[in-house]
Amino acid sequence: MPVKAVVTGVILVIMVFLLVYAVEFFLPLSAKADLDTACRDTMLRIENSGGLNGGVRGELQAELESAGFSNIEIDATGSARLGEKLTLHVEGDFSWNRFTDLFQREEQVIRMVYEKTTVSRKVVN
Amino acid sequence: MNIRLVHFKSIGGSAVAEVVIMAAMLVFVVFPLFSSVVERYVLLDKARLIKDSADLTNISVYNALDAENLGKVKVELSDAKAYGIFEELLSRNLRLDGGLNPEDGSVAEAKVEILSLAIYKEGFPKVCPNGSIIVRPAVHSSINVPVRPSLYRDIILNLLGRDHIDAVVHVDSEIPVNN
Repeated sequence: MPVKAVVTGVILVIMVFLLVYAVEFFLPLSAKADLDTACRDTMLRIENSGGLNGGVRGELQAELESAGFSNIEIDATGSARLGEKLTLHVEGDFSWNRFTDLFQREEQVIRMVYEKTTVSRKVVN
Repeated sequence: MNIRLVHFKSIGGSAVAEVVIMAAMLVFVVFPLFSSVVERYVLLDKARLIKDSADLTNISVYNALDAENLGKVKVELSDAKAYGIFEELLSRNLRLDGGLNPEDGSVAEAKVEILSLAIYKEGFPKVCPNGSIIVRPAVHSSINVPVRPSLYRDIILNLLGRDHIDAVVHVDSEIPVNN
């Protein structure tokens, strides 16, 4: 009977490990989706306003920080007339803990980048 | 004594069977299921990224063409010009070179093809080449982006008998009419 209990215990540990490993596998993918969504929203706003201003930059920075990013760099065209190109370049480190072994967890850091170009549609009357 | 021996074998056999069943479940159920979920998630994420880039490019083409023609009495948009702007912006947003071939970090795995591009400004309702009904000013585009699976890449591609998977993305972007 003890043999069976030990085997069941080991199997449970392995199952839990696999479950946690699987969930942690999706964390960076989810973070990238968050980064893309936040940047896409900012892109639409700077497309309308003809450039990135301090307020929008601050909001993007705060949104990315709340999503778990650090060392954030935001670079964008400051001012563009109607029809001119606007580029938004955002970089940030995403860190999370993950299993690297059955009983070992380590912090992993991955640098994520978003860079897209659009055309300004601001009209100054 | 004989009874005890049989009882021990029974317990040992049960534990071994449990391990074998567990290993079989891992190999034949858990790993394939996990892999297929991850693969699907990654492919959907790539499709989302491509669609987002195409949407951004669609709006940009309209804005660029519209801006260039604001001062003219008669607006005529040549296909070559629209294609040129679309290609340039798509290249920037999907990290492609001038020939629409992928550069480092691109989601595409081979040359991207522009299947169709159309700008609708009036005469609604209209039907785009992919069959969607357009009722407001919009830019239609359809692009083919070759992608490859992330896990078990060689096995999947060998099974399909192909070098890559064609991700055909069709986006109709409505033009924001008010600033």
